[in-house]
Amino acid sequence: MFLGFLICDKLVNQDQIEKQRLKYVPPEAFLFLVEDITHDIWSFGCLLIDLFSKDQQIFKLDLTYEELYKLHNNNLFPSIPSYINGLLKDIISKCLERNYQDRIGIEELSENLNILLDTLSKRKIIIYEFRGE
Amino acid sequence: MKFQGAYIQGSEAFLVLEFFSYTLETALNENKIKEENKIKIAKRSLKILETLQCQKKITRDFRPGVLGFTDRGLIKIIDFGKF
Repeated sequence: MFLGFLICDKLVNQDQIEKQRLKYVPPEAFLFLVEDITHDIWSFGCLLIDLFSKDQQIFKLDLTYEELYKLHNNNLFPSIPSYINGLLKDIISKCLERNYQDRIGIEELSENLNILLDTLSKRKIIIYEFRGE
Repeated sequence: MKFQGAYIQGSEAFLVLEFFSYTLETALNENKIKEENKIKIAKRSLKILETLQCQKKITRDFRPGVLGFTDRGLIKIIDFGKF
């Protein structure tokens, strides 16, 4: 068995790593093996869900390749939790644009995150609200 | 990720790399991240992508499990995926 990273005292095997990686792969790469510069932007959108989700974090989902294929094929993955709204939801949606040619560019994404950061620090408003467990 | 050194023991070669206390995945799993720091972490993670994109590179493996925190709290990518 191949061994992946040694982080602290945890050993992670290569199959687990690949299983995790596939959940962050955009639909065009997963379904049609199309690789584009926006691949990582999609993954970043997934990462935002992980950061701001309380109960639907992608890294916690245990999905087989077949299950993931079905979800992608039916445009059902990943879903943005309903309690994420406003500008944050807008940013995530633009990262998770299924047509990779319409996906947000890195500069615009950076500008949007700056606006979000400013809004949070200056106005101290809550950008999302978690309801229920 | 900093390269610290390399050595050979018997027939095997070892690389010594920078130490990471935990990954973003571990931190999220253990609720170690304060709400107010999440956007900052998102910004820093995006900065990594910006740097890579300037070099016309994509990782194809960008997820909380490959972002590591150093002892000083810096976020770095610890696996460069499949360039």
